[in-house]
Amino acid sequence: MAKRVGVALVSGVAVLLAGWALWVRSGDAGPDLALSKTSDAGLYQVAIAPASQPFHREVFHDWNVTLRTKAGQPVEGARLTLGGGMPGHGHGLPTQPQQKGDGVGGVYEIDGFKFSMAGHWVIDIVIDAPAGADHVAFDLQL
Amino acid sequence: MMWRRGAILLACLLVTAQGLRADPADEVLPAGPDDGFTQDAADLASRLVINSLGLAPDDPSNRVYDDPKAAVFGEALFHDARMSATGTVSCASCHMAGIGFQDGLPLGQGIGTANRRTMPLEGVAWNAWFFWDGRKDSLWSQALGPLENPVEHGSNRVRLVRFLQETYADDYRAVFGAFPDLSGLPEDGAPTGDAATRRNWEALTDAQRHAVNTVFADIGKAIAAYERQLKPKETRLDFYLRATFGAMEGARDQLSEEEIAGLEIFAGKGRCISCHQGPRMTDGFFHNTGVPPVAGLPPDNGRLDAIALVEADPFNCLGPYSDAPAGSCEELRFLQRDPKALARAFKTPSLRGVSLRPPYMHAGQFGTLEEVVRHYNAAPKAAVGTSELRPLDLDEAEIKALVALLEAL
Repeated sequence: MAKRVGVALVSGVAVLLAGWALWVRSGDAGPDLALSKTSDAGLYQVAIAPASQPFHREVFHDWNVTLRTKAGQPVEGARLTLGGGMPGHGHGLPTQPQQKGDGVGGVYEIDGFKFSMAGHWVIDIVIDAPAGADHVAFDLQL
Repeated sequence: MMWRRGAILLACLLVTAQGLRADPADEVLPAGPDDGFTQDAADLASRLVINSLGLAPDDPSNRVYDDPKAAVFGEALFHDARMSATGTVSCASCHMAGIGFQDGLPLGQGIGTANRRTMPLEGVAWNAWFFWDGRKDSLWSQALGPLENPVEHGSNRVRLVRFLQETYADDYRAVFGAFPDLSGLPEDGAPTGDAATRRNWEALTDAQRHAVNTVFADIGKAIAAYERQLKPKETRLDFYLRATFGAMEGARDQLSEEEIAGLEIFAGKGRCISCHQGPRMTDGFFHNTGVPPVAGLPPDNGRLDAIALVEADPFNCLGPYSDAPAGSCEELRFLQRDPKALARAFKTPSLRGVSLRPPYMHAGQFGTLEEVVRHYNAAPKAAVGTSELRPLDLDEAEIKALVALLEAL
């Protein structure tokens, strides 16, 4: 009897710990900080990166957006509209970044990013290209 | 505090046992003090230290910004009350050196009463935008505004340029070279002001207007060269931060236990550091924090109404009186125009020396730092636009600690 109670207790504790661990894992997951994603409707593979290293906050820093089809072909001639902000603070981007050029080789230079503070930022990109309109959002922890 | 640290330690142990990594935000700073800072809060707090401020940034739109002769000339202009319509008001009348280059009044007092509070000038050269609403994009262009504002200096650019030629000709030439042709000017003239002043301005030739504007802009450029030298001072907080998060030892007692608790709230639960960050304790941007309007003052939309003003300003970075090379002026070229974010948004002020300069907010709405903290704790809705604040749920002890910290800045 005592053995069965002990086993039940150990099992119960194990279940509780497993559940707690899952809860912690989900709580710790946070935003997906991947810099390469598939757009919402699945039309494009999109990657973002600072145009140069090291990246600096609080000053203007250019970024590159690389746009490819689902099949991996570079997408040229797209119009990108940039937005975003800090969801935790309820404010948008302090500047209005702009696309420069037509994305030769699928790489679009973006001027005018200036992240004014540390924390969780979101970059929204609305893509308008011959294959269709789509959207992608990136989370950054800066 | 102890129960929380115990809970964090227990959580870390259990997480380790489960093979998961704890969120860095829940880890106690390993080499930190016994002050309970989370890693994120410690990281943010450590960046407040004044030593990380560095040199004031360049301003390519002002060719004399780092010229010592221009700074000396600008200092003289800054203190010269003859540049006002009544001969009684100078820049220094409202920007008083002994109290952080501001005046301690709810609303600025020139030859009349302004609609907003005088901003402090220490560290002003690190700003990208000027005035509470950022309607100016350089320090030199900002300096021109009060000179023609009817309730500040109340003068006009033709009168000022003539005064400069009569009073400061040698100083001007030493910094800027020869005057342009200023012959045939009336006593007064400007695109704003009373009807006679505007009529005189309209009667000038394009060349005359350009010459006047050039010298008028140079007045601002000299004043800016002086103001660039006004830097924030080291405080007890800096000694504490260097002792706690840096290599310096033996100065942790610079802050009391209550002030340290206030710093933890400032960088953590209070979220003050979200905007009041870095060595100047400001992000330099504009936020709607639900600060109430002042009865009797005209409606004030803050940043929203400043966008058109700065874009139309002939003295902006892209204008004909700017010295900036092509391809610069990023702040103006990438200006955020989204009206949703800008209604009744005002610039985050630096908090350095904040205890020395009540009242607070853009029109002196709050008389004490405690009122300010209670406003942020309650997070009321904005009268116009949307406040970014969320209630903080600070208890009385936490409010007291946060106020104590602010008093130490």
